[in-house]
Amino acid sequence: MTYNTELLPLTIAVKSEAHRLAEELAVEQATPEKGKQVYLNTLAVYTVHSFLEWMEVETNLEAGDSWNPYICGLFDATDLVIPNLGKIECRPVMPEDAVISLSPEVTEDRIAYVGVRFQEQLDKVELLGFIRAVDVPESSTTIDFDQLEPIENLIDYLFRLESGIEVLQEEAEVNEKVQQGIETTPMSIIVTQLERIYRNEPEYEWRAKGGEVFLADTVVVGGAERESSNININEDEEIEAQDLAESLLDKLAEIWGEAA
Amino acid sequence: MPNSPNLEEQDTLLHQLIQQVVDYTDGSPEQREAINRLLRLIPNLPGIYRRRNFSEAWNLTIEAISVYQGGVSGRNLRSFKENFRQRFKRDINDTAPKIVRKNFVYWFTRIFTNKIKDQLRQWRNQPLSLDEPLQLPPDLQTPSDLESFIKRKQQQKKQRKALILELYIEKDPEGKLRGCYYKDKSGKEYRECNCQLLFQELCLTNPGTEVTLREGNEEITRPAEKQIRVADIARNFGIPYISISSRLLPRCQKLIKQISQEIEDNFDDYIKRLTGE
Repeated sequence: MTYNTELLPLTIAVKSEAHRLAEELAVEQATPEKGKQVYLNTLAVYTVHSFLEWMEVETNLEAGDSWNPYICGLFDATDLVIPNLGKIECRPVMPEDAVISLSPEVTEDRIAYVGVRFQEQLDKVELLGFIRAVDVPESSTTIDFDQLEPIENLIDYLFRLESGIEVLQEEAEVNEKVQQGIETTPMSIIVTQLERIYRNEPEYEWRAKGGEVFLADTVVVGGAERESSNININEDEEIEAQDLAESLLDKLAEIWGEAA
Repeated sequence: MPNSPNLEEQDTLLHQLIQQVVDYTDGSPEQREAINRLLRLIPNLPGIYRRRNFSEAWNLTIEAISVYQGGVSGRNLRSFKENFRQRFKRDINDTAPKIVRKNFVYWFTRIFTNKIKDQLRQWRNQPLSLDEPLQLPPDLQTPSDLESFIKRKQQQKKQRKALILELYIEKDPEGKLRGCYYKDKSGKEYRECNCQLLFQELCLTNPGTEVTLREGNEEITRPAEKQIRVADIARNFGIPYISISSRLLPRCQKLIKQISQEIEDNFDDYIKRLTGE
């Protein structure tokens, strides 16, 4: 999806604590070059954390790879853990960059990417916007700025995931198929996939596309690529999965629909 | 101070108040009273988060559900009730108070979220300061100062954690990284496609190669940019991309996290083993 609106970043002053932690992690790196990367990554992650904390969205900074002095540089890690939902990837963008570069590593558990642009001075950054991880094809190496949604819409997305997981949990108590589904695939992944279908597909496709979410052994966040592990599914199982997806998507649509 | 009502009582009260606001004539003293009680109840409902930095958005939400054209009104709650009836094919009167409460909370939260977004849009024009103003040190003002700043700081430090881990990856002294490799569904083993190789190719600082480029009549030699990605490795081994990205690599990442914890717990031992110091 392309957002043709002009990029409207939100400028945020960087906290002194962010610089202190960034230095602490950067000096542990193998080279000054890696140290620089880690320093900027840390400022990006910390600023998104501060923003979300200010919005009263719970985060767990220390649970991310970006907070591990051994591996933050190794993985080019910029992950921020949102408990029970997944991780937000906070990608630093330099003033001269025309796109957002992604780390070559896996995107497991990622729910969204946020672009954090640095300016000439290190005292402020701009939150450029965000993109849902399900909308980024798995092998992508970059994200264009015009793919980003305004940062304020992130709160909508987090609300959708949170309420979607709540519905899924309730359904799992009374529906064995949902129970099986959440045993093999994290709930946040099922909900992000259903949210993608809700947002991008016409209603008449929900049943078929939603059914696929429950038929695959492995649902991968990041684009439509999934393992083709549903070859031996019989017709009854397919109908059952589609019934389930349809009923879930109907419930979610009611919750996620436009406010009055 | 009266005891706060339990959840069941609260749900029943909410249910009654919605019904009263909807039924009473708009602007009547009875409706005004019911709305006031409803507004006092809302912040206590499970799932409602007031968010202290968004008081303006909160007030606008309260206004949106209780006021129409400047006067107290049940108009918006009537539309909530009507939407509910359309979806569930029954009236809220015939529905368990708990279900009504859950749907009311979602409805309220959607309106509140939209008001928060409006408030954030208004704040675009000035930097949002979440802390006291920051004084940057004179030797660290811009991103281009960073490398030399960190270099100076690193010189003051004897051992660096990430460097020790990189040495571990290069040497793989216990063979743990080489021992974790790709095996396809038929059982065919790809021992060369292992965690050590993945980390060396994807993550290490210096892949060790240089490239020579011709620019006009000049030849310039510089370190190769790190451009190797999972897709390249998959192609080299003839393995599906997804098998590496969603199976092998997560396993390797889990393994390296365990190894880094082991190094952290026995840091001095590993320094001796890996650096001979």
